[in-house]
Amino acid sequence: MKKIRVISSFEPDEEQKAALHKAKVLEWLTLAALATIIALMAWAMGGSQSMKTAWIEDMLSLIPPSAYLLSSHFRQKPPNVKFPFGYHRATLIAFLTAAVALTGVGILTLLDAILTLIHQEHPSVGGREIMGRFIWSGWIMIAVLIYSAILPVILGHLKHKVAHKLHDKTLLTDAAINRADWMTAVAGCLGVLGIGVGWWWADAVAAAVISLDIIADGWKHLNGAVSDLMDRTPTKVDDESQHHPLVEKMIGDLKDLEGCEEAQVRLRDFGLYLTGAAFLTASRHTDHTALYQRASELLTDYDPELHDCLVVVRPGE
Amino acid sequence: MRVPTLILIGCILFVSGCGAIPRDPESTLSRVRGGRFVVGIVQAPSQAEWKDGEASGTEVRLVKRLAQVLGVNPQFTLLGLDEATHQLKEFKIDLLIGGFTSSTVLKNQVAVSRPYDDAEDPPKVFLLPPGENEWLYFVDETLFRWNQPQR
Repeated sequence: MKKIRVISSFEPDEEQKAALHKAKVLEWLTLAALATIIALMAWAMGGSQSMKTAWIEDMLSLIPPSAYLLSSHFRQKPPNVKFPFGYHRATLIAFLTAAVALTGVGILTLLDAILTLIHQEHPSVGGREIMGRFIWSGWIMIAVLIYSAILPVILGHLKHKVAHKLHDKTLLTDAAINRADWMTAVAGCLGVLGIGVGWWWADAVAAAVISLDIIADGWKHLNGAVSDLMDRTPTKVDDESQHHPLVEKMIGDLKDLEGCEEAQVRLRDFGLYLTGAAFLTASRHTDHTALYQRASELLTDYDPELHDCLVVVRPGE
Repeated sequence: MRVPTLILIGCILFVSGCGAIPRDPESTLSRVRGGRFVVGIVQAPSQAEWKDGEASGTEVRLVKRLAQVLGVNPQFTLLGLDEATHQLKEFKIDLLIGGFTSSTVLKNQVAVSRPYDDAEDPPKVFLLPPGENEWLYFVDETLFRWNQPQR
């Protein structure tokens, strides 16, 4: 396919390259850790509904790291005639799909838990042999649940740091979900302990709580993916409720240019960098090509995050 | 993360301090120990049969042995499969025998014991009321001990 001009000024620096590599390693480690957790949970799982729901959640949490790894392969592909903006959006499509799946499964498991409560189904957990001794399976389940809490929390913290360096929101959401994983495990443990003391309903209540957590995760991903696909104005990486300060700063600086009557800036988040356009209106009797010159000079190397910003100037009336 | 961990450890300690875990929501084990041990039989040739008001078969022999451990007399009752399932779910019978395997279609509705004979394939099991985990654990552990090689 015919090549197309790539964003000339953008090339990840050494630090970013190192962080990108680290992010990939961490996601592979997450997949490996989840694989052991899922296998152990399947082995230990008895009749506990909360444990089954936690297990489903762990299987679903395979999706974000896989999506990240898959898309990090795609988004490195240079733009071409067919896809002139490159392949960055592949990540977002992956996350939108994951978010829909997460939300859907969360609603299903929640309904399942509610039905169990309505039908007053009592969960059965017997005993099993482990290393020559016979013990109540609930204890094994609790041990596995505690194990399932530890690794994702550590990995989540490490990923959080890298995501910050990369300004990568998908990675940040993934890290936030990993970090919150211990809550699922604690809810599962309480459900199993509830079965132990003879509260048959405790397990279904714990399962409902975990389902709500799955729905919340799905909602978080859904919100992020939809707003990014809609080209919402860039936000601060660690606080999505706050606009990125760059837009206001650019408008101010452009307005200060000699002969500029009006300035508007439209930016969008393109993953590792921001891009967009500045629309200027020249004041009356100003040579608008000169204003264009000044604005272009200003916006070249304006901010390390901003790349390939277009400048459009309208002559004054 | 420290506070929830402490809460969890606290819960585990509290619960293990409470004595025996697991416990029965409907106190089946203590009722059985008290002398009311009702065993449902679904006809299964050579394993659980009902002839002339007399129960016989390999599973019946095992149940009698289990009753001996508990020091009680089992009371057998012949039932159709549907009625037996219903009574098990309503906690009216304490055990159901009749050549059930561990992959029985009832496994999501009632409790399934561990296989009573490890040598058998497919593994044969007893059915118990759902969620009576102290009783289930007692039966499981007893069957486990019986299957251990004699030392």
